[in-house]
Amino acid sequence: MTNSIEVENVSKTFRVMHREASVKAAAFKWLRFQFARAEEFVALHDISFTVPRGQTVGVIGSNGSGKSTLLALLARIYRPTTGHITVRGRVATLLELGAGFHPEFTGIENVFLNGVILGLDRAEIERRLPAIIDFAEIGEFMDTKVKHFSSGMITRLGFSVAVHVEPDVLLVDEVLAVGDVQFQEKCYAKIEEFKQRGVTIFFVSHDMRAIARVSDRVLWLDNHALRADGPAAKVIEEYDSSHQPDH
Amino acid sequence: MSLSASHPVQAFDSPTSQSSSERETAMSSLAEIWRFRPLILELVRRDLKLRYKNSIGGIAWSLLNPLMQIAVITVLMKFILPTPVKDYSAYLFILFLWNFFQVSLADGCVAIVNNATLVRKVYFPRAILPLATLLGNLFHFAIAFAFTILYFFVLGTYPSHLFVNGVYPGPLRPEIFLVLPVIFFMIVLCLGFSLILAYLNVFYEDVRFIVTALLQLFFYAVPILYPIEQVKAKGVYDIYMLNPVAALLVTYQRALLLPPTVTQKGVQLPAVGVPWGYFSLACVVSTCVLGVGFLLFEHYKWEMVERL
Repeated sequence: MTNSIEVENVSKTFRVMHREASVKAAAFKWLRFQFARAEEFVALHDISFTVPRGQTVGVIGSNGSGKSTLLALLARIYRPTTGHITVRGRVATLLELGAGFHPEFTGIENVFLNGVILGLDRAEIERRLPAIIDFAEIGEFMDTKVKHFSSGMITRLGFSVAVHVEPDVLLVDEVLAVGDVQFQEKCYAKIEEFKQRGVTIFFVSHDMRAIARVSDRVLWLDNHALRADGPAAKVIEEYDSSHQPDH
Repeated sequence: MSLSASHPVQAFDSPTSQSSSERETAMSSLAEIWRFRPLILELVRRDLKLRYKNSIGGIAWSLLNPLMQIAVITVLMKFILPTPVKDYSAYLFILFLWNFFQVSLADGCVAIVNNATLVRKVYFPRAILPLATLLGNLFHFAIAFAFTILYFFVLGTYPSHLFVNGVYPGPLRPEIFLVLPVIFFMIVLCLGFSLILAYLNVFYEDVRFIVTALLQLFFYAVPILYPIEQVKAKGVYDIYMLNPVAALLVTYQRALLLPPTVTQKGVQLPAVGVPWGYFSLACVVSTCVLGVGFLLFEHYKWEMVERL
């Protein structure tokens, strides 16, 4: 069995600069021999895990525990400070729906732009265009500029493009929480379909029900470190009990 | 062991990682940029569409500004400045190449910061952004260049300037073919500066204002408001031409046109031909600027995203 994701002893430290945002400010500091000071902020500390192909992994943890940093590292937005990450296959990232959308472009134009950003070429997008429009259910607005779209419509279109990339690995950050119930059901159905096809899904959410519903396995990040890693039901139970006021 | 041949394993190491075999090199970065060429094309398409989306005039607008400048300078030269040059307006068309340089640098500054939302959310080789910005501006220059040639025929400058000693029909002036390497090295120079400025502007947001101001000043250091013959008559030619932009512009002008007739105080100044030496130097300098710019950008590309 091939591993889709391998994370070995990964730490991520951000250098929070008390920086000068302008050349003028920087020059004045240099003149007074005050150089920019950097403070280190450890966002993730010594994380290791592997995800076999086809597994759906949910990541839970409180705000600021490092969930989004972990996802950004897998998506190659950041480079780990120490350690090693391997991701195999075509990766589609959904860190923010419609991140690549341009408000001045129509729905169709944005499908092409976003599709190319996610790694397709124009011919591949052309072929998938009917399916993408169909899934998003906003057919009559596809020639309207995205700046006139509602946030729900942007979400639908963004999700629709991402799932039609046919990824081997899908990285999702907190995006299923938006959209109406009926569309959410559709997204879950799509995720089920992906699981059948052996797509590896890595999924960050605050919504325990969503995590419990789709995950085979759950990682619990607490205070920038991996606190628990195991079957979904077990880890969620642990998490819940630790967050209950114990009287 | 990868799942599909067309999408190889993505391994990314920390800078301190032991597995040096998988370390990123400048060559592997170049190969990756090449693999992402559909994205480059799409971004160029996006920039061009955006610029003309809401305007009826379309491409004409990008020509209007430099044409106004040419008109103003022509009038200035004719009536106010003391150095008469025969048919100077034709020689002023090198302004389009200067404009390409100026706009490329100004746009290069904001290539990364203007796409911050994209950079923070999706991975792609970051150098694609300054590259796509430059290619969009190159498209405008290509239109301006076509316009220049057309205008030369309308003005009557061509075909006589196209042939050896102006004898028509006859053999073509071989210098005309210098146009291509001049434009090529101008692109090289602009791309190099764009990479450096795009990187700097992430760390210091006022870089673009400084660059815009410096470019306005720099305009007086290239032979547009005055002919290069006058620079030679002043005796500062050898220092002046060390500036790669000036050398490229003079070469471009001499490639397109025969040297102008410049008269100062009733005396005709000696003509300046193709500056082969300074042109070669400009090519070397441009290549170095691109090399330094690319390596600098590559070195800081990860840190850059964290600062956005």
